[in-house]
Amino acid sequence: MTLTALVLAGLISAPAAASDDRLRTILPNNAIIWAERFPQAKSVSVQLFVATTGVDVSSQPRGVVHLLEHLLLKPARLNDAEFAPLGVFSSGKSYRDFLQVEVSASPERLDEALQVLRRAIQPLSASAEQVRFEAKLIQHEIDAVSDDALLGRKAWTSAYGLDAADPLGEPEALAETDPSALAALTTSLFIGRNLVVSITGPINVDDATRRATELLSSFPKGERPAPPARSAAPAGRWELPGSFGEVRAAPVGAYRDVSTAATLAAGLAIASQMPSAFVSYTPSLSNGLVVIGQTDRAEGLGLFIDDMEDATKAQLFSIGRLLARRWLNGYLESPSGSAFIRGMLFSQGASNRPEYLAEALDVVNWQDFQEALNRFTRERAYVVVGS
Amino acid sequence: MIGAILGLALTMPQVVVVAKPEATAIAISAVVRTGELSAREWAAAEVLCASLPLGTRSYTRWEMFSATAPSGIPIRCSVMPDHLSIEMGVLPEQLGTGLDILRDILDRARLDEEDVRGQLETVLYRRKGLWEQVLAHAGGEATGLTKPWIEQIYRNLVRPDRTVIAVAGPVDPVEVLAAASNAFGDWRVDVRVRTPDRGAWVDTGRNTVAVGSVELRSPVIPPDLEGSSVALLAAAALGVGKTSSLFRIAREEMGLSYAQEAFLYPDSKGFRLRVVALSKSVSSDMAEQLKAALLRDIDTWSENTLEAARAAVARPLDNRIVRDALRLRVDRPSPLSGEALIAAYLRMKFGDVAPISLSDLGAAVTLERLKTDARRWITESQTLVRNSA
Repeated sequence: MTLTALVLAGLISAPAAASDDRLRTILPNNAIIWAERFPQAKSVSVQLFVATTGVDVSSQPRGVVHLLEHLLLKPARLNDAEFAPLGVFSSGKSYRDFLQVEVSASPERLDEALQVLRRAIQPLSASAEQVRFEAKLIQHEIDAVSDDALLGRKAWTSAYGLDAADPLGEPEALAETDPSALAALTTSLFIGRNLVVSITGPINVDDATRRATELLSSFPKGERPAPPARSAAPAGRWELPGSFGEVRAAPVGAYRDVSTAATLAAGLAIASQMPSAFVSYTPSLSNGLVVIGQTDRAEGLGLFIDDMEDATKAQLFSIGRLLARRWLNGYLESPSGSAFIRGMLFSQGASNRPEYLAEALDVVNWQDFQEALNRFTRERAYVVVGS
Repeated sequence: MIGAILGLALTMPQVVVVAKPEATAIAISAVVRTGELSAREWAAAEVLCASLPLGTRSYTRWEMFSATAPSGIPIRCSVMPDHLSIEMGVLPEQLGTGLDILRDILDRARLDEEDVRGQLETVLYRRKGLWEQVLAHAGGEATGLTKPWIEQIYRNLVRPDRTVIAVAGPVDPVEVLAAASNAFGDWRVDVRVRTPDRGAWVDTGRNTVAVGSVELRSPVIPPDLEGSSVALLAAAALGVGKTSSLFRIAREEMGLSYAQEAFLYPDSKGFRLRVVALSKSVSSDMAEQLKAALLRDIDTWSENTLEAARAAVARPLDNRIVRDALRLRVDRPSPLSGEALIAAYLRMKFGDVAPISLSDLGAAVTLERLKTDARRWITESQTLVRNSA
């Protein structure tokens, strides 16, 4: 097989599971359950997504959902000491538009994994002292944020404003959060329309769905809100004191747009030519960013993009769609990855599927790709450099 | 998982096969035993690592990239205190191509003058990430390295008798052996010793960070399988996951740190157990407090602690929730590449008696042995405090 054929071979890799091994269920309260069988997997991944976009937190300090995530997942609250010896492990993370809790366990411990989620979404009762302590930990978390995250956050701030960019929050303000307001926030968040549970692994999809239904069916109903509207500010160049490296960020629309797929392919293709470059993109219905960057050196990426010759562009086109498909398959081929990307998309609406991004990639043509490459040039990208 | 360890002729690298029938790609890892490296040799090895994916005498950089990209595992080289590793992947039908590329990288690297010069600059001026700075072999950077120095390191270190190759994926062990024999059968040791040139060892001050760290670093733990198994479980009990001692003490009790980990780290003479907490403001007193608290906590360890440690170590690598108790790279490899890397490393470290995965280690460790050894390692540990800039 020639190298070109090799490249093409990667474009036609099959999905990880047959369709009868997958089951999406929308409960009467609008909560969503995704169950997917990976027969060869050695563990199950159980993930909870709580959409945060439809809940008004404007009266609370920025990052209040992040503070809530810390408090919801305290080891004593989840009873980690009992579950860890059984091989049941949990973690959580706050994103711009949702909060995620992941539990992994051996296949025979699915019930215990769901028990962890049940504990995570029970009503919260925290003291002011606990709130202050967690705010202190969040300060430590912010202190240890890596350069790629700092530069990426600055690109988001520049493109869409501070609110869209900062899930971490402001520890000093968070320390003063009223515990009763946090309890009220859980009541607002934990309603059917905001909740998604995805279960993947060597499972029976009907049985797993039944168990997750028991977990979610008692929450109040709600209608899923429209995705957040984000208007992009003009592109430009910013310096970020205290950081090192450079990023180029290209604005994109919904994840299923061909232009978004082309931009992701272009970003991954560019990054593949730099030894330590990274790409970040979170599929979303809302406007977002595809961010390329490097943090081990201060220059080189921008020069490569701005001085790119046509022959190089053609080479990148030959590999870009493949890399984007590989990026997507990297999620879809593992239980944890599939549970994550599907749950994240379902948290934005029940009709969202990663396959739509794959379909968009399939129709990206040379013109789409060239246009996408141009979105990373200094004239059109959000350029952030460390200083 | 089906494992097979296949011995080959003396001038062949050893080959380990990790059969993963469900995988959609093949991961290939080569681990090259380096022994102890001086600071300058380490820097030279880093330059070599950065240069190897740039081309061989038979393959251009683009050809190697095109062959590996469809697998999702591009060519990557890392330097650790006892080894140098090369990871790559290919599609299942390209096993022979993958091994041929690897052979070229290991024996016929182009090491073009301009490329090496560029990578020298890159290594010298590169800014390391937070954890890489914590894990770093040394605090400075080398100047004055030249291409002959890099070539010498290449010829002296990268030899078949020092190399273990592991292949993980939907493969037949017999076919892997045949393909490896075809690719590596004529690889000969070729050591050409040159007099090292002179250069400086300087701290450029470039790698200053916004967050400091406290670390307890054990004495060298000899690389026998039994003792290393205990150390691996001790690392997990001390600092892997939310029930670990370090999480409960440094984060939940002391409020010292958001990010804290313990792990077993390679050393040229064995391993070291490293217990690390990141914090903006650190001091020697803080480190001593942490040490005392950990020693008290070890006394409370129960069978549940041992079981949690075993579960953390034995978990499938695609479980990304808990960190790796054995640290073979600064960042995490993909699960499939991790399988190959671990299998090759264990074979290099422990020889023929090595298991092919971490889940096979530690079954016979008792709670008393775990507590006794962990207590001793923490008691005798060196305290390192690294302040933020």
